[in-house]
Order: sequence, then C-alpha cells, then structure tokens
Amino acid sequence: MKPVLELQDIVITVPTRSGRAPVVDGLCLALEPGQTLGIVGESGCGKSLLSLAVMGLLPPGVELRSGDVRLSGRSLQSLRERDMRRVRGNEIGMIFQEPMTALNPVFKVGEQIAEVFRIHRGAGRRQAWNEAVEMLEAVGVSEPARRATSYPAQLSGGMRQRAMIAMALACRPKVLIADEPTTALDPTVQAQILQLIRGLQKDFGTAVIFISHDLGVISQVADETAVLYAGQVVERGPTREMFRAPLHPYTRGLLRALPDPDASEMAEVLFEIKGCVPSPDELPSGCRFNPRCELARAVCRSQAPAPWVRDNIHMVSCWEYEHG
Amino acid sequence: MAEELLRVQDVVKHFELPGALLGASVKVRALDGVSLVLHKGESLGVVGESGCGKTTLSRVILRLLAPTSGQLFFKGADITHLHGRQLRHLRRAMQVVFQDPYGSLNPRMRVREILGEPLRVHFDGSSDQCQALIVEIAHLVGLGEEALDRYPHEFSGGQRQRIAIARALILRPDIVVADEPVSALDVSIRAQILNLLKTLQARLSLSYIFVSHDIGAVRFLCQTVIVMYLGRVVEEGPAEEVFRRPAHPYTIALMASVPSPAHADQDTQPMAMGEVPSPISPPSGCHFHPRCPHRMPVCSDTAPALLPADGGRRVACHLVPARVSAAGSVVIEFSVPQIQPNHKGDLQ
Repeated sequence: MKPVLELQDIVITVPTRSGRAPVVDGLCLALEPGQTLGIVGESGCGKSLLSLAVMGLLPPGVELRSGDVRLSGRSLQSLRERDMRRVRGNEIGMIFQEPMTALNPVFKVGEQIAEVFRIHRGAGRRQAWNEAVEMLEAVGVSEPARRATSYPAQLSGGMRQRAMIAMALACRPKVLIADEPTTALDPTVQAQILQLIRGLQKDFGTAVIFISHDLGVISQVADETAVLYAGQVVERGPTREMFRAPLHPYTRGLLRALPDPDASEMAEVLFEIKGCVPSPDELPSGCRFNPRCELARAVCRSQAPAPWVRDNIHMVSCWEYEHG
Repeated sequence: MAEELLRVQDVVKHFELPGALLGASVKVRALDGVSLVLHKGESLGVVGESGCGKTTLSRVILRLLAPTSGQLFFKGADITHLHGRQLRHLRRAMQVVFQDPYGSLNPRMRVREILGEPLRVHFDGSSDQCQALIVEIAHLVGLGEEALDRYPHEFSGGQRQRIAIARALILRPDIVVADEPVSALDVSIRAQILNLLKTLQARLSLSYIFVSHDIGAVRFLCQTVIVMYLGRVVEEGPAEEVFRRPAHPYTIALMASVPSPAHADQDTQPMAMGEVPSPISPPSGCHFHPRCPHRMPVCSDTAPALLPADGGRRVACHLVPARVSAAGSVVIEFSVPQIQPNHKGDLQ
C-alpha cells in the first residue's frame, strides 16, 4: 500500500552553547493508511519535536535543517503558510498530553469543535454546532448537547481529552498525531481513551502516529513500533514481534527494566541500563547507544551501524546483526 | 514478625474549601477512616488514582498535616499531637522523598549544603564529622565525591533523585516516605532508582511507605500494599495476593487497565465505567458503586467495612464476603459495623 505520510531523512536542530546540535538526526518513517505507528523513546529523544515538525509548528529557534515530510505524496515543506493551515486540522489532526492547555479556556467546548467545521468545511453556525454535538457523541461523551455548552475547566480530564479527540477528528483527517495523549490520565481512564482511539481509527480509517514514553501503552495500540534513541530510529518492526523478540540492546533493556505488576515471580533486582541519555551536543561517536551498551565492541565506538532488516519487516541498527 | 514501627488508626482528614459566593464552605473528605501498620524493614505500597488521598495520607503520616481525627503511633507512642522539640525529634526518624527532583532541591545550594542541612538542624557533631557523613551517604547512593561541589541543575533527573534520597537518609531515619519517587523519571533511569531504594533498604534496615500509581514499581519494592479509592482503603494485603488475584472490583479494574507489554496480545476491556468522582461529593454507600460492574442495591446505601478475606487480605466490598463463604472457608457476619481496631491486624 502507498504510504499516507512519509518522513524522509528528517534533521531537526536546536541551538546550544556551541552552535547547533541535532535532536532528530536522519530519521525516516512511513505510515500506511489506517495503520497505527507507535513511536517510543525517553525524554530528549526528539519524539515531540518530530510531531511538531510534521505539523509545521516547530517553536522559534528549532529548525528543520533538512528532510521532507510528504502527505499522500505531496511535499509539505514547499507549502506556503496559508496552504499549510488548510492541511492542519483538516488532513492532519493532533492531540496533546494536556488537553487543559490545548483547549481555549474562555470558549465553550462545542464552539471550539464547531470552529473546525466552520473553517475547514465552510459550515454555517447552526450546522457546525450540530456537527460538533454529533462529534462529541461519537467520542463517547454522555449528554453531548449539554456538555457542548461547558467550558473546558468544567470537564474532567478524561472528558477534556475526549473533546480534544473530537476536535482533531472532526474533519476526518487522513493522519492523527497523538503525542502522549493519555499520560496525564488515571489508569482506568487511560484504558477507556486508548480503546476509544482504537475504535475511532477503525471507524474512520485514520492513520495514527502514537507517541509515548510508555512501552505498555504502545504495546496496546500500535501495529508497528519505532524505537527512538538520541534522535535516531534504532529499531522498527511489527509491535507484537518487537515486544516478544526485541533486537536492539536498548529495546531489550527497556523491556527488561520494566517490572511486570502481576508476574508470578518478581525479580530481586531490576535490569538497569546504566548511565543516561546523552544530550544533543555531547553525542558519542559511532553508535549513540555504545556508552550504555553491554555488548559494545571497538567497532561500536568508531562507526555508526547501518540498518539491518530481518524478513523485510523488522529493522534494527546495531553491529550485533551486521553479519547475521 | 518484625517489630511494629508505625500504626495509623482510623485517620480522618477533612479539608475545608471556601464555598461559592456567600455559600457555606465545602468539606473534602481526603481521608475517611484509614488504618495501616508498618513493620520494621517492611515496604508498604499505597496505590490509587488521583484524588484517592494517597498524598494526603503520606503528609499526615509525616505530621506535615494534622489529622481531623484518628491516631498515629510511632514505636508504640502516640505521635498524633506532638509538637515543638518532640516533633522535631520525630522528624529525624521519618524522612521523605518527593516526586519532582527538580522542585524539591534548592537550586542555589551546592549538593554538599543540601546534604548538610538536615545535619545542621538535627545533629550536633563537629564540622569534620558532618563532612564525613556527607561523603559516606553520597557514596552510598552512588554519587561521586566530585558531585558534592556542584549545583542541582548540573545533574540529570535520576542523579537529582539520588541527591534527594541521600538527603532523606543522612539522618539514618527509621521510615522513609517516598511519594511517587520514580514517576518523573525515564524508564531506563527508573530501574536504577528502584534498585537503589531496595539495596539501601536492606543495608540500612529501612522501612518504606511507597506511594505510587505505578503498580509495577510497587510490586517490585513492596511486600504489603493498600489500595485506596476516594479516601478509603478498599483492599489491603500481601502485594503478590492483591496484584495477582485482586478481589475488590476496583482493584480488578485497576489491574486490568495497567497496560503492560507482557500482555500485548490481550485486548483488555476497561472494566470501570466513567471516571473517579470528585472527592468533594463522593457517591453514597460504597464510593465505587457508580463505576462498578457488579453493583447491587445495598452498595449505594451502605459503605462496606474492610473485612478479612482469603490470602491474608482485607477487602471492603459487599460481594467479597459472600464469595468467601461460598468457598466454605470464612463466614462473616454481615452486620459487623466496623472491624475492631486491630491488634491482630498485621498484614503479612
């Protein structure tokens, strides 16, 4: 199938004391229609800036140095701001971690959703409002007509996140970017929202990029998963296979470091990945994970590994597999 | 059985919120009759969602908040109303590690001063003795001596949490209350800190009260666990029992909603409907009943008492005693108004 969204060789740089440093470095990903791609990584791996780059919303100072974002084959890089505005919210929707800061506190939730229909679909006020109420119903808000007249602060965290999902999906975008959408929610509510996103995706056929630091969440929602480390994809493959048999030492380490709450035997000591994530201006030479890797050899310290693909679907960048 | 260190008995904590314009003030029942016992060398986990009162409980235990009613005992002595010098003495025995290692360390102090501050308040040794203690504790938590002359901002989140732990341990307390100590940390760092907490516990024979919504971390660190919902304990017992065979419908829902890579193949259905209600106006009867898939008429009228059930646990649910008696092991009189203050209330 032809990918709906392609990221080609993305390089994003931030200013540092000594010039500029890459937070995302040569990243390539492709998303097929209706697919969910999970992007997992720790803080500072560049996952949030990546999603902002797709939307053309990088904050001042942060620069998309090179690379191309293609939506249905069309490059978004060459678009003027006016045309980009038509893409945002219409063809690509986005939901964020904290719906309280993403919603405007002084407008009713219904008005904010209706605005999407008015701007992108040219709907009249009354029609837009009715569609907003329908949208709230679609995302499982009870008494949608009444809730539409609420202000964001009058809703619970879960309700706000539902309202934001309603807004993001109002125009049936081809792509939804979800950046840590459940991190601020309680576990029982998180489970509800994850189920909602999966259900809507099936109904609307939306392709989803789901960004999270939580391997558990990713394992529940993503068809495919990409693991980011220091701005690069170190492993990518079908989610189930990757969680069952991770290839990269970093992915293996992350999974082993996670205590399983209902394991029959609890380990006495958790597996540790020693050290911490390098900052973008102090990246080690060779493989960026080598100072923390148990398997590091001389070649790991001097040369970056090339990607190796197993069975056409599971990619890993690690010297361990170079001769496999 | 190890020596009993801390006993919290039927503690209630209400907060008064100013009401709407000219209205009467509103009462938030943050803690609604919570009891627990902590033994020497034991780790007690407190889990629950936002608004369940777990942070209020930790503050009451630390005597940072005075309970509205109920009692606290430390090594058998009533500490509910301590003040002045005696309270300061107690503080030496009970220390705290907070969630946010960015907000809990003074950015204008070097690590040496941060670690030295508890000594200045509680310890009257010479300056050389203090310095020796500071170096010793830094080594114990895995900080090099060169770290002592740096400022907090020069450290990563994980290293800062090591500093916070060192500060809590420098007075060699009996109890450390850790309120979400690993929630702000990355996965790869979280394991380092959890391992450190466990190692230190064995070396210094510490007891922990570990407040967290991270069930995996609680399972790793704690032998005993209490599950809270809107200010009440709904289930308590050995961590392995409670997490592997949860009995209260809320615990079951909570466990089912923890996404774990180990269960990636299962399509988990959320079992709790709706969201946690506001603690300002909790539901009548059992607080969980509006969200409970098994609710019965009695649940909206009568709050269930926390009663013994299988596996050495106690559960507050109208359903659970029935289940146990069906198995023929324990039959519980349903009209028992409240469990007797527990002299046999050890949770092991």
